[in-house]
Amino acid sequence: MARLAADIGGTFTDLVLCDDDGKVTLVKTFTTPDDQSEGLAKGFARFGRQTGSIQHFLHGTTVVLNAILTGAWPVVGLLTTRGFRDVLEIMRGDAQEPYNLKTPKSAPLVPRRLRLEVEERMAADGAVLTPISDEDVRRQVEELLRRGAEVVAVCFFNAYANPAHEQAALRIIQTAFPELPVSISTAVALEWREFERTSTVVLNAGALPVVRRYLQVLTDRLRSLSIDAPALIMQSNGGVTSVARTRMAPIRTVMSGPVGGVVAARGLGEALALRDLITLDIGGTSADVGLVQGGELVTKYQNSVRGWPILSMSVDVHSVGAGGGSIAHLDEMGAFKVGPRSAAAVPGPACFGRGGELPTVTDAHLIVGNLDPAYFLGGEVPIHPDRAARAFERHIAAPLNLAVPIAALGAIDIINTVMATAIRDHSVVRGHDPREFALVAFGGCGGLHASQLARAIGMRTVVIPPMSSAFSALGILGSDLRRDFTRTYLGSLAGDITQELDGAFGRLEAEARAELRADGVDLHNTAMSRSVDIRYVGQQFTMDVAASSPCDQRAIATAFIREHRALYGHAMEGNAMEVTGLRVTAISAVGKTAVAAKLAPAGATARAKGERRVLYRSELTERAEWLTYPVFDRVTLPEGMRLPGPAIVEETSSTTLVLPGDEARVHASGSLVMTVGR
Amino acid sequence: MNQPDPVVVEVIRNRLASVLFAGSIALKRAAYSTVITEADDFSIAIFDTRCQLVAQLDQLPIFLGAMPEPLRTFVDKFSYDEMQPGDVYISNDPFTAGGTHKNDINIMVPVFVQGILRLLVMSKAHWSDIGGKSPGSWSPDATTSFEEGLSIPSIRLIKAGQLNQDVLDLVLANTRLQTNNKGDLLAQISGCHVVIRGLDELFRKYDWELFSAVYNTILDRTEALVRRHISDIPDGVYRGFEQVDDDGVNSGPIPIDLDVIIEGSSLTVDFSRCPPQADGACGNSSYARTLSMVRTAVRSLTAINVPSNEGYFRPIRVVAPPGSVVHPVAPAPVTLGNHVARALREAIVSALSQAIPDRVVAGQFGGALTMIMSGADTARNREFIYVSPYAGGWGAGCRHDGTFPLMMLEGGRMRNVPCEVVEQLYPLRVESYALRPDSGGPGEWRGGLGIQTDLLVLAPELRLSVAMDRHRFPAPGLFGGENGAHSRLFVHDGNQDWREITKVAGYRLSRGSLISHRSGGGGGFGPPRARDPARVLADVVAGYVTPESARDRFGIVIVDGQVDAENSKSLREGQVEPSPRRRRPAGL
Repeated sequence: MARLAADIGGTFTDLVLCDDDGKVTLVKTFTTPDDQSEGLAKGFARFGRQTGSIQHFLHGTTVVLNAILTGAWPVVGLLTTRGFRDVLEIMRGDAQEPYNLKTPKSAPLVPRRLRLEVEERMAADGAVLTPISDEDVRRQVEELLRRGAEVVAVCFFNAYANPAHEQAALRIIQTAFPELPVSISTAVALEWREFERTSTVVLNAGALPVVRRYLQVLTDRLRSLSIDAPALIMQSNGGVTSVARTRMAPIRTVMSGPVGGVVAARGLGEALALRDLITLDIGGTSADVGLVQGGELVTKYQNSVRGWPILSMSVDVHSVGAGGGSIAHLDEMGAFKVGPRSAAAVPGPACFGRGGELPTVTDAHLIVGNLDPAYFLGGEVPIHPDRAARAFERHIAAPLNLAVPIAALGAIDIINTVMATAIRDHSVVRGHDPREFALVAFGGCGGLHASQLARAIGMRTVVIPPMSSAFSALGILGSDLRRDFTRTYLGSLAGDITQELDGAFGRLEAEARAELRADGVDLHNTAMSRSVDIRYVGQQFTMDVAASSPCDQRAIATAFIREHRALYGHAMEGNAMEVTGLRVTAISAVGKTAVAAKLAPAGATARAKGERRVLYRSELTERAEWLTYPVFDRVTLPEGMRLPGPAIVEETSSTTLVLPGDEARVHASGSLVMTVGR
Repeated sequence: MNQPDPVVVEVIRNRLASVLFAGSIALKRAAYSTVITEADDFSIAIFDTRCQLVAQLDQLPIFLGAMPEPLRTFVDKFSYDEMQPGDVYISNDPFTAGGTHKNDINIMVPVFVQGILRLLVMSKAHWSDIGGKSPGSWSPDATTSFEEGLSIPSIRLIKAGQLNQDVLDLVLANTRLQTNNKGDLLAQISGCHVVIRGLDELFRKYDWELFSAVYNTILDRTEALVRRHISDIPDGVYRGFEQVDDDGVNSGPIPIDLDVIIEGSSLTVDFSRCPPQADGACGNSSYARTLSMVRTAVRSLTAINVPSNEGYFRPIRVVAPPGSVVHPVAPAPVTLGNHVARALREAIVSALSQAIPDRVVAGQFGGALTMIMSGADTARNREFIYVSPYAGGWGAGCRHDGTFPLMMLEGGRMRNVPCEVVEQLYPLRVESYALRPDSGGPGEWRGGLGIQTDLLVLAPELRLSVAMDRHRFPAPGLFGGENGAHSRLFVHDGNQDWREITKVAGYRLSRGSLISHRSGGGGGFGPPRARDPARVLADVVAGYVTPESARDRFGIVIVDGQVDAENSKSLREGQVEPSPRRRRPAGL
């Protein structure tokens, strides 16, 4: 009953194997960009064990995201309703830089000559105003092919109200051009707003050949590794789905990378009895902030890549340009800034000695003693502290007339305010007070910043999970099957619409069941939940409120008023409310994995492996002073051990700072749970 | 005090931005008016007791200078001794209270740090209606301020936590959308309170002396940066000219004739030659709005990413004689001040085109940001008001084709309303929503294109209010570039032929009527015959430019999707003028 998860990112491929006894093993290897499955095979070989027994293979991939970011992409042709071919280019009309007379605007995803129109028209209520003609569709697709299109996307106006014409177009195209990859908007997003839906279907169409090619290679590779389990692919919504479904709607996997960590944090939160979490994944170039509230993933209905909207349910992850590679510099006003520019892997921080000359956050950690030059990535990477100091001296310390260690400490303080701002802003937008949440920090640099960030924000609890540099892979390993179904639906709560709502939900659920059955999902083990988008008549924003089955209109209204008051401080009692959308989420467990790590037996004593001088700035006095921190090896810490700060806990690919006043406790899950001092 | 620690400066700067952001989210999410929630037509700012702008939420150009004016009138009227914790002040009057136009409501709350009044937080937001003769308080044909809605001088609405219900009742009783307005008011107050909560937290960690030293450092640095940019512009008096088609009442154009004076690191805009205030609402810009536009123009030509604070305003001086179209006095109508605002901003850009040709762009399309349609929706059994922002073409600049389609620069981050949402919520059908070929002004760098939106009226009766501009004077080209296409609005009522309308309030249309709105294009930059033939070809392939226009205006003959080099050469021969050379070779 072993389960295998593979998280293939830009730099590393992380494999996590959970064997019959629930023992979890991690393998980290470099990603092979040309054929990602090759890195997977190499990593898999390192488990060196019998492989016939793997029952589930779960996989997070960045192939779609990379294809969008790099433009390694087929030529997409777009078919629209007559009068609307420019929707994709008009976008929403807002300027990226409002004060810039030459404000930039992205070139349209599909150039104008590859956007053609057909005669057809639906009314907003779904009535056919102009019927569609086979001949017209065929002729326009032929023209698109003549102009070089390799795949075709279809987005008809008002198709969300009645997708019949899009479905007809799909049949016509598939009959006339059986080899041509085609995607219709209503198969990916059955929601109003023509620009957002067009953008979604164009991205989906472009991803079709990319994903199909990759999934073929992957399937072949799994066969050659004798892994018989069907692959389950991680999606942006925090759940997995079948290969067949991914081949149809690949755009739903676009955020599968960053969401793994949030899913893992939720699982860990269960073990720790923590239900409200803010997750922070700090890597080399960016920090990703996510939320778990009341034990549930916080999701949103729309995300975007490079400014192009994607209508698909997605774990709400907010990314900010702050990480180990962020560069410290002085801006044109002479102010001390860090990031968002990053030295990335190449040329890298100055201390790597690979050509990087600019001071980075990693260099700063080295200078103030947070990192051990002799134990970087377990001592595998040679480090040059002198280069780090030179970079800080030249670019920051000398111009600002500061000592080098003070400049380095300042860079860490500043990047912390950038991350604290991201955490605060992200939780505020969702209506939460971050101080009521626990901070789960992971990624290569999570443990270095967590405690200080928590102090700056006023959070009390910090969790540093086990295997924190491969935490996303752990999340993928524990993922459920998940599908989200959405419909635009307008109904005023002024009258009694309970029956209408139940009817509409019933139809949506029937569609959901049919689709899940087609995927071979066991419906007995599937939980369906309902929610509505609701607002006061006249408001623009909607709130997502859970609905029961059968619906209870009064309960929906009461919940909305309560949420409104919680979020805004007031409610408009007596005002009419309206529902604008229905959502059904289906979740089906694949099988649970308790996250467990190798720990020294309880009661054992851990001894520090050494000590280090660390420059520390007290929150209270604002004064910086050199303190002596004992250094512990994380694998020697026994369960239940209490570790008072100051202390440093090291493992191969990450370091955790326990600051003076903090107390860390080693939880059975292998997590370090810190109570943050004041 | 010594220079504060550079790290602390950066930490506090980030915290202030975060505090304003939290306030803006609270305001925006609770607000009712579409222009607030969808178009971000609001702002929040923090001032010190010397009325210096400490920090402002940075999104809407039209409010860039519009916060300090009402703040000063509050402070002039109520002494600091009178202000107490829990007070909330309100105003909107463009004349006695420094307002922009009456729909923009100012809310001010004093901030006490350890019992001492140290800061003032102000929010400003556009209410959908504040009374007056027309729905939305939006009357292109108004001739006095009284027709534009209720005047609220600087008054105290809440005293030490005690709401003056009588005043609130009076305000709401004078408006058409009482529920909306009450929601917007509460949203504005709660936005201020969220900012104050954030400041309270900040002051738990940093004392006032340190905070004060930090923000003064930020202000001084900002000032130094803006001065450095102004110093890069050669000293001189530069004359700029722009015009508005008409004031909505009289037919004559409104000329905006100004001087931009650069003296070292200071910049003065002198409006002394501008005409006396106009009779109609489309011909005046309130003084607060004029200040905003001057600051926006300077920012767009100097340091685009400069933070919004007092330091940035210090090097800029404005001479605007009271009683003129850029500083009208009571009871002038000012609601549709967007027109003059746009023209004066562009006059400043055109003035400086002589000094910094690399930085400027040609003219932008014009109008009053939105069309407003209202009436009874019999199918849905309700009244409706649909406010429709529209995008058009921006001007071309040196090595830059005009961006398109975008909302007007003055409108900041406004967005369109999706056509599917329009059809679902209002009795309208969108027949077409498309780019207008050949609408971008031809030039070596082409102006941006406008959009054509065709609507079919499904309601028994619809009232249309609109204030078109640039239907007479299109967006001008620069350095030999040609003008962009005019903005036009045509209506077709079953009984008559197509008819062009320009500025109307409540124009009646019946079921089956057609509305065709065509936003203008941006002006071109440099002579069109100097445009790279490959770019002309690309424009023709994309359909931005027709083959006829390529031949007649750009001098490029296209045959079978290729440039006919020989014919194009003879067409262009002897006609190519030199491209505008930078007059200042260095330092740009």
